[in-house]
Amino acid sequence: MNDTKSEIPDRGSRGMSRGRANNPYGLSLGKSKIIGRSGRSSPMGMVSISDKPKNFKGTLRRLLQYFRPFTFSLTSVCIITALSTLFAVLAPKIMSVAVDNIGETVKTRMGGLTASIDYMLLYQILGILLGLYLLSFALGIIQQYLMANISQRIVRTMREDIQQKLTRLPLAYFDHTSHGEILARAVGDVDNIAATLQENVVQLVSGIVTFIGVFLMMLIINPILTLVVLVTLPLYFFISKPIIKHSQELFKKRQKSLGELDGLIEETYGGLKTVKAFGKENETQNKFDQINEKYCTAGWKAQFITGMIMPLMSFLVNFSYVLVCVSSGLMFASGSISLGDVSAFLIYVKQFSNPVNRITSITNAIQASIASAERVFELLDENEEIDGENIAPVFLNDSVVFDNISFRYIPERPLIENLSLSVKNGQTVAVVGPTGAGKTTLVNLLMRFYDVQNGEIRVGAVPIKECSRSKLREQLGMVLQDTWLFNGTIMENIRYGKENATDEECIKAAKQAQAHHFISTLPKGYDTLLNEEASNISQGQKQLITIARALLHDPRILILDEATSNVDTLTEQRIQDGMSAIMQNRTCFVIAHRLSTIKNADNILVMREGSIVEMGTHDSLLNLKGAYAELYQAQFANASNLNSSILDTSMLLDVDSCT
Amino acid sequence: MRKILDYLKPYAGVYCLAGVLILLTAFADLALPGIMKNIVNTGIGKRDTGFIIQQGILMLVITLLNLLFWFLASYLGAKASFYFARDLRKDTFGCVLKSSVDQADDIGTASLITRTTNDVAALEMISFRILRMGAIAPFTCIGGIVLAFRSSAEISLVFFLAVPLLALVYWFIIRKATPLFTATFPKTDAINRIIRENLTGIRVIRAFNHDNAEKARFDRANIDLTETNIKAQRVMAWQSPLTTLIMDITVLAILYFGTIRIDRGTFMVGDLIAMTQYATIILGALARLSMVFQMLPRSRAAAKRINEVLNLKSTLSVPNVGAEQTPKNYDLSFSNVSFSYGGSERPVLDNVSFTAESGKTTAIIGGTGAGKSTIMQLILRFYDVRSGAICIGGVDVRKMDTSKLRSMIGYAAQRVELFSGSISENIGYGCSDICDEALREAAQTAQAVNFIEAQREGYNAFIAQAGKNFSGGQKQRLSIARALARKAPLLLFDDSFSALDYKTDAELRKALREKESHATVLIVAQRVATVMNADKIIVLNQGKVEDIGTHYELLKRCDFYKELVYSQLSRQKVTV
Repeated sequence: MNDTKSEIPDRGSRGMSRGRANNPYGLSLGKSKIIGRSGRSSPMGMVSISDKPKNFKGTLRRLLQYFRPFTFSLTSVCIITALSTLFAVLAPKIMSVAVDNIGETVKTRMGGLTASIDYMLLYQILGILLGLYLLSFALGIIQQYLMANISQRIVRTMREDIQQKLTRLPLAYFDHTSHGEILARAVGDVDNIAATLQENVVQLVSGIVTFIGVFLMMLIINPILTLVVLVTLPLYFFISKPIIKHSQELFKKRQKSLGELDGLIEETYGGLKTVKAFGKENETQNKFDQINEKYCTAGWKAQFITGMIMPLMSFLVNFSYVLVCVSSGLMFASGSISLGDVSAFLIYVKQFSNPVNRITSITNAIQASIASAERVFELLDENEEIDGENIAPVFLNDSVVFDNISFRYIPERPLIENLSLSVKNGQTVAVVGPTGAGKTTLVNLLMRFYDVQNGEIRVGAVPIKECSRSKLREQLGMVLQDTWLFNGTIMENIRYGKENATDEECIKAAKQAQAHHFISTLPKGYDTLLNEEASNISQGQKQLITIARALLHDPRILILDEATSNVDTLTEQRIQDGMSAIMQNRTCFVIAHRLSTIKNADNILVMREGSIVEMGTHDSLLNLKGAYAELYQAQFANASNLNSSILDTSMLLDVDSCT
Repeated sequence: MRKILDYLKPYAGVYCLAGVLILLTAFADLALPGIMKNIVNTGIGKRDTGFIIQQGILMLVITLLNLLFWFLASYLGAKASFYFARDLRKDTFGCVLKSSVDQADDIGTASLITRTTNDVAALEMISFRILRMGAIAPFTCIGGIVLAFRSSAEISLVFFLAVPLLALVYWFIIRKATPLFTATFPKTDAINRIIRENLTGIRVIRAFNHDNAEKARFDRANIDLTETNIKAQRVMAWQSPLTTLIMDITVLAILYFGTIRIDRGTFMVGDLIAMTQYATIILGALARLSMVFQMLPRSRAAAKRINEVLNLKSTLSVPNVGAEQTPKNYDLSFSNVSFSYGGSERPVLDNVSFTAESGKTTAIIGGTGAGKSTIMQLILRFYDVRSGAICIGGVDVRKMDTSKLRSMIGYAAQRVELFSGSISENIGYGCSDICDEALREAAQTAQAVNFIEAQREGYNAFIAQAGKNFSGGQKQRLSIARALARKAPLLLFDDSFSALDYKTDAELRKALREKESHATVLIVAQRVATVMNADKIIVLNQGKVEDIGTHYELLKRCDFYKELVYSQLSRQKVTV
């Protein structure tokens, strides 16, 4: 029972199911900690039958495009495969000559005469066969070598295409697509395609050649016996069809509980501290056990049912084998077939069943990988963001102008309507206001992470829509509240701001960002490795590193979006002092809740629900006694209501004395 | 590996039974060539049609039995493998849940997930395949040789050449391929990691125009993986052609020696045909065995990784049974607490002592990296102190059952972790059973009612992955409401007000005061405004307590605090 080929893993489908696992199970942790299903062996021994492509032909045609650079080697593989298969098909017939040689001798001897085996003929046949075997061995190696090359390089190109595509997709795409889903396509699906290319292209060619070749050889040897074999052929399909249908349902069930299981594992591990703090360990374990049980039951059933196909197929092979044995025996008895032909035919029956046997698994594997390719192409077909000409912004008096802009993330929910703002070169502009007012959106628009729907933003005199994104962003330095650092040393992370910066420059930037002190107290200093969890440094320290990174970038325009929210105010003040020299000739946008952060700004914008409600310096806005004054006083105003016994707040808050 | 094998024990019986059944199918497979031989030698030789048909029926019966054995074996095998994996998965998950936070950090969340999902699934599959392919192969091989010997001992000698030769070939191939395959695992992980980083850091990468650098980084990893894969595949490329070649030459040898013996009259044609079939069966079994060996590096890696998780033991000290104590009140005290993360020598907290009384608000303020969050996590016993003690109501937290301890605490973390689900599910997360009234009350205190009720579905509104559909301030308020809904006597807020505007911040603290007047409230904050009304302010500087007092007292005597305040308010406002 050579059933190894039927156990082609369903990597891609599982990868996909993870990404798409809609979370049927109540709660699930927000962060998408989904790992691509890499390097995994398949969880199941059957190709995922449930995975069907929508547009088989179109996707196949497109997949074939990837083969183009390898047309020559692929054609060679096909020819080589066909040749070596042909040898395998011819061998039994050649051998039958030798068997007949023996048979004749035996027959003659049984007739009482003396006869001797024709050793010359035997040597000849053995020689020919040995030659054929060696040849097909050599061809086999060449074919496998070529195929390894082709399949691996094709998926390499695919991965490259995906990575490149990701850099060209608008940010809006990532807002509505989970990381897990993208990773599932980039890793799981691509792996699936690689496996199919490696194993099944050759299988398909040799299967077809074997099928036709063996069929012809059988016909040549004996048409009646061929008919006997053909009788069992429809049985293959009759038997496998209902089983496949049944197992499809079971696999669907299995995939569903697998998605739930994976979802629960991810949310629990990602939020382990929350789970523990709220004492949900036992409850979570119980939920897990339930889903685990469900998965286990569906899993073994699916495994068992699909596992039935192979022995059933072998049974059919043996069945037709027995039929051929009996009928060839009868025919030999009546003298209508030679002994060599009988032995050859028996080998052909076994050979014939091989491709038939594998058809189910090959078609499933190919179908699954076409479905994978389809998902990859879907990603590659997403609309890209349109870039401007290769124009750099020019800096004139007016550095940044928002000219009557409107923007919405979701078409039916208005966010920014008709906002206008002009910022002079070298000015520091602060943006304050409650969350959801659109402060970060302004930054997103300026950086061209999103494009405005109406109006225009100009940097210098050039509308940013006409600039190329990269030229525009060269002029902008950004520090976000969300501190993204990659796996690498602190030095590497700072150097991210300027690729060819020397260590001295990096350290200088770190000093300006007030990060140098804490970095030097770390045991490994600047060589400290930041891991994914980065539990080795605090949130505030991470912010300091991102600030150093932005300072090294040395931009014309600096954007700080809640850049120091987790940094203490003393350090923040030192950062500001350190930066004041840098900021002098630069335009700065500062977004902050802490008003102490922005007091010294040249211009403070107060935003509310997508529009600017007040604008001016700290002092003038306080005098206005409007929204800003209210926000500012809120810092202390409630103190007296809360606990008047502590202190007299008027002692602290003396608005008039500010002026 | 031992530990993993223990998980197979409960199913050893079923597994062995399946093995026996598979053994029977091996015998059934091996019986067929013998019958074939009879048909050729006796039936065809003597032209005995009755015998041919009789033997044919025998063959069919054997094939049917074979089928039956297979069904049973695969039923039992599938069950055993999946139940084995179920138990393993359950315990792996359980071990992560019960491990202490520092241990989980050591392995890393991403890796823990892969271990519980991929690695367990790999073992599940392998245990099934070993049964189906691995278990049967040695028996088939030995059985085939025995039967071949009975047919012709002399000719069977070719197997003594072919079998070791094939085994040697596989040994070489696997020895060469295993390190290559093992090398691909971390390389695939690298591809994964880079794409993940490209996704999580998308804004930063674009802002710094790092697309090309990222492409170069990715290409390096991509080429690295591709070339290693090709190398591994090229080693494997020898396996199938070599197997076929050895098998074919063996058959040729049998044909040659068989012919000589037939010529001498010591052998029959039927024996020859049977012999060639034994050869195919024996060498085919070896080929399948090699596939099992091929899976071994993957499974060994998986088993090792799972074992590491199963060996996770909480580093927290456990109170002796019966020695657990329950606190009489909820006053919190730190006495001479020192702590450092991992093996680091640098203490994050150095000899910290303070008390926080119930019914009062204690605030902690201090510089970046001063150890504020660490204090919170020590109270929750995510970690144990290195020296000193943390007591609640006079009872050392290490003498309490951790789950009991945590049930006394409502905690809002610095980094908000919300779960996708409805708002009410999230707020009620820490309560086994909570009525709408209580939900609303918690939301009210957390100043979350306005934006919740502005949602179309109100409390049933869905929180998306990572709470993407809510702003930073809204997420913080939900997390605060979740902590409050527990009605816990101890409330810990770790910089939980940082994304709130001052007005909301003040209103929230006011409501907190009124609603939670009996609780011990501990607030970590950066803003002076957030802490200045606290009953007690602890000023933390580089892991040491700088001073403790009220805002007023500290202004008078603590320079560090004064500086902090100055940095947020203009000087003349502070001076009396």
